[in-house]
Amino acid sequence: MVDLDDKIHIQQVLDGETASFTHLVDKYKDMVFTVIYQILRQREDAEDAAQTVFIKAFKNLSSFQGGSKFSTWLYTIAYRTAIAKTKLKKFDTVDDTFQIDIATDNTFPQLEEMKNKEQKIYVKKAIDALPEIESALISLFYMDECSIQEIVDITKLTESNVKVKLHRARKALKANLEGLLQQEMKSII
Amino acid sequence: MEKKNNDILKQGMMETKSDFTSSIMDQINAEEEALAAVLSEQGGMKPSLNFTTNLMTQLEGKVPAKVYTPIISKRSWIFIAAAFIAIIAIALSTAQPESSDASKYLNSLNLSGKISSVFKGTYGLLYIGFGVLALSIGLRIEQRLGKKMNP
Repeated sequence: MVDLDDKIHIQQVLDGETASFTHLVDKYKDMVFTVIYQILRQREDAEDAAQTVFIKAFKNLSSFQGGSKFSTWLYTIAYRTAIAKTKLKKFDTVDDTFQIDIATDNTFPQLEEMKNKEQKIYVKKAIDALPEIESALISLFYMDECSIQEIVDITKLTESNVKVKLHRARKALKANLEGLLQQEMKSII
Repeated sequence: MEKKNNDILKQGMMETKSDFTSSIMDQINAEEEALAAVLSEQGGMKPSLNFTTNLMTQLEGKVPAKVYTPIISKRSWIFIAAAFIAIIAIALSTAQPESSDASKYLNSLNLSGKISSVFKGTYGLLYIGFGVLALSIGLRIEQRLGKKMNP
């Protein structure tokens, strides 16, 4: 189940070649950072937490038994670290600010008019407007293409809960990115 | 009169096109594909450029901690304890109370004699054999459970 390349590097690290860990860090740092950022919503905090995650992973590497993907194991540490850092009370409070902005302003700038960078900022805003957990799930599901089962393993939420949260997040994103999606759909159909 | 009303109602109902469901499903699938395309294009966020360097500096000279697992785990000890209790229970179940007096009853149990007799004679080897079998089954179950719980 473990990627062969990951397996080789893990073994090398366990054999004392610390430098091999660089490969694993470079491969997974973006997604680890993304998951943590979606929950903490502060770049500096997210970066500190991401460093902590990799240090924890390094120290406990020998406890990784290879029954799951290395990424799943790593994202589990990332998710738990981020959750531990944030206040539990803060969870599941929906920030409607962005949704209201979009809802009142239906004049979504057309794709042609938007530069790629602006488009990315717009999509990022839409993702950030979701509740923390939901945006983390969206990142794992769409950006890292994790399966539902992998997300269940990472978050320890129930399968139905993951599905509900993903559905809710999709719905909100579709509403917020309506104009952008219309353009994308034209190219698909 | 009622029949007439029903006919009017039926006539009033509009029929959907035969491909109504499939067109709805196409629309939903296209929306889903579009969302997936937009989000995957978005990609993950990136930490600072010196993220890896900073991290590796912190890890310099360190080695991953070795995890020592006990040869006989906690769960196996539970199985051993259960087997021991079972042997005691077998020994006790063979005893017959001779008197209502508690001390007489305890003497009649002859606990030490019973336990030692369990491990003596022809049945001794059998008991030990069963014990080893139970323990090995226990260890096997424990191994499987351990794999499932900690993949």
